[in-house]
Amino acid sequence: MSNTSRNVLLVVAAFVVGWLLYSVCHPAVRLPHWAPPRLHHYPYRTLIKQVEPAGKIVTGGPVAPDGKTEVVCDLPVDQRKKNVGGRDGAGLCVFTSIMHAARWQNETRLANFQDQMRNEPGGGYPEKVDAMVKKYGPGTQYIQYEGKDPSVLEAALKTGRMVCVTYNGHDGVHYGGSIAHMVNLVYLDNQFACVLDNNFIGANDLVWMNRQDFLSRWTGGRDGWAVVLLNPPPPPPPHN
Amino acid sequence: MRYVFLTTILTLGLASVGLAAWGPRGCAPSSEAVASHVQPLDGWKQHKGIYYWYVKGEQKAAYDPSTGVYRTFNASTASWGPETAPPWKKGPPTGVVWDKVKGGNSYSVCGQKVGKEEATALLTEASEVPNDAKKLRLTLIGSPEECKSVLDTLAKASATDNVVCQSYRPDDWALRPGFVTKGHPSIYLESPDGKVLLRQQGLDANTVAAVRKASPDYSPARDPMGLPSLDLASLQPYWPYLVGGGVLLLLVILRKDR
Repeated sequence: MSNTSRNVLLVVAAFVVGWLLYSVCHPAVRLPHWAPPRLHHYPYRTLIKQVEPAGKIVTGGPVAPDGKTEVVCDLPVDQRKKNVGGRDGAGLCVFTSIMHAARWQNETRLANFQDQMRNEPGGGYPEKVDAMVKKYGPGTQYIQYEGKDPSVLEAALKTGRMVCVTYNGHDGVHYGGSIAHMVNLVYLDNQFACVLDNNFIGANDLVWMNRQDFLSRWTGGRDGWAVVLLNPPPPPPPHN
Repeated sequence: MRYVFLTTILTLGLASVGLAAWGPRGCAPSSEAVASHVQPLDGWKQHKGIYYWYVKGEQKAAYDPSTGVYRTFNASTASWGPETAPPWKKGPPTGVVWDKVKGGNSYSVCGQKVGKEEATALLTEASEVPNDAKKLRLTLIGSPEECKSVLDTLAKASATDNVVCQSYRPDDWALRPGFVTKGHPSIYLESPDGKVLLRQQGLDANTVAAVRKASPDYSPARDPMGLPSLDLASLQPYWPYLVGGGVLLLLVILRKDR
């Protein structure tokens, strides 16, 4: 290598070293890096608590996978209505579920609750249900429960009433992940539970699961919510 | 000589970088240099299997691919939003605002909060949800006016106190299992299992009597006979009776002593 080449290389090296020294030593300049200054870690614990291993969850008609158990509230398919969005596009599952219960229990004031709610913003929670029932179905008798005790669900179904319940999905049938949804509970005993999901309203779209799978989805790892209309269920089929 | 030359070159090189960086107006260019170097964090960054979404250096959301759960993040309050499906996997509409479900074992009846004790009492007495599964079912089928007229007549005679009443229009889905709907109104009285105890086309003199006396639970053999029994439970709380009894006993003893 000639002296000239060596000198050129040295000059280049000097520039590179100078630039590096300047970049590293100057307090205002840092090399870009991807690590966030303060990372808010994902709340793993909530997830671990919430996502429990599911049993066998299947779709079907009004008869359970055992071939014997039948739903308490078999709302005809033509009385079911698919969930839609409200004025702002947010879902009306809460009000569609209440409408299903109203149709089952002949609560005529709320028989078209979903249609009325399309003029309102979507999304539902207990206080909003109070306000909307007062607005569109004044005089309707109903109870709401927030917690983990399923006895109110059992009491309602025992008397033939359809229950509106929260449901957090990840059932592997209709939902892969968690959702914030409300459906109708149409059967619950020590073994089985069955829900009518207003996003899937076909004759064979009822979702059957075991009791524990349902209860964990009802509470969603925190507290569940239930709405029960107090009007009586339809009369039993007549016979002699 | 060569070393002197190399040292000079090196010094000049370093000095030239410094000049280029700072320029003739002091620090001004350096801020430009900073702007070009410090890129605010944007986009997805993975950390231990979880993906975090940044916009201009601010954390906005996170996604856990193992569960399919997506949550927004409010950096100003350092709080997480509700668990949802990620926006790119938009599923069917839902609509529960779960954060506003306060929980805590709370009950309300028609919007009025009821206390835990009251709710527990209601539950144990099974009256929170009316326990009418064992009651007779009175079903009226006709126009609203026809049904109301019959219902008012029956109610005046207290015939509806222990039956579950419903009125339906003739085309209602609930009547599909074979109800006769041609009356004005049609009146059905059924046992809880659906056995028809009475069916009439319109109200007549016998209807009230028939509805009043029909009770599947009534058994004359279970009627209490002889002296009425004292229900101690109805005397609760007991302490006024105990105090009263004690005062009476004291008065009797004192009178005897005199």
